Amino acid sequence: MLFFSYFKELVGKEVTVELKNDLAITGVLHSVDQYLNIKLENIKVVDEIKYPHMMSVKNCFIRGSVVRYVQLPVDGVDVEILHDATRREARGN
Amino acid sequence: MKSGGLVAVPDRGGDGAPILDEAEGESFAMLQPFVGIVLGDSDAQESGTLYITTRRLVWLSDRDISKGYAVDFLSLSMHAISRDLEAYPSPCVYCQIENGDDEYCEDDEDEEEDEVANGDANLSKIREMRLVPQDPAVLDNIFQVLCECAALNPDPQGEREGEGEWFFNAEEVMASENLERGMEGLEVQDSRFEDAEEDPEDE
Repeated sequence: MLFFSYFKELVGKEVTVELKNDLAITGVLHSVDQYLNIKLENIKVVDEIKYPHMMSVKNCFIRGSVVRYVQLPVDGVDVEILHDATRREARGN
Repeated sequence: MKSGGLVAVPDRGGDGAPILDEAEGESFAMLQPFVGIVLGDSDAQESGTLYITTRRLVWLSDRDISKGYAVDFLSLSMHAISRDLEAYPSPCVYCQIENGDDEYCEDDEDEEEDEVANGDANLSKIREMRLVPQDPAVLDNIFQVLCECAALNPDPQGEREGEGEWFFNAEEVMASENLERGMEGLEVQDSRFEDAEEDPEDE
């Protein structure tokens, strides 16, 4: 649940979601649910030449289970808060 | 349950709709007539009816009652609305499909054999699909229903197990350290094998 709560904080910020099929999409995080399904808006495919079909797309829904990484904006990461939250989670809430 | 990618749906019910797996609790979430389908890189668009159920996206051809396709939500890795007419000539819902087998057996030999026996085996290689409604006004609705139904189908929890041994709290970490220390202690204190120390004469 830690990642869910954390990603919810990032709604409205720009993130890059890298999928397990190597497709990487940059966009504004519109919403995220408990399965880490992600909705992005104003998207842009990082490697447009490799994925020309994605160029026509402005928003998308990504299945949480196919996400490999989410790259965060620098100002979206408060290391201290994340550190505390991780510890709290680790203590077994 | 394994995600199966795109599959053929050769049968339909008496009412012309897909046959649901009611025992598994499958029900209809949306019915949208006059939706074209485009598979992979093909230019060919065929008209049909789109059904979204609580478990799958099903498309049935208008022209050929033995023709239809389905993809379960576990295999539907992404869906999006495409409205940029320069990139694609008709507004549509763009889908990416993954096949659960991908990671494990690319270029599977069995698949090649299936292909000879049945042209539809090619379907398992389809990674992209476009749904082109005659009326673009329904695009948002299709998108939304797909989002809602995708959320009803999280991956089975079991798949996550075995990905690695994780410690979830400090006690567990300490417990494992104590265990190791305990083992060391055992070795040191165990006198049973004292006379079994390396004896050069034995070798």
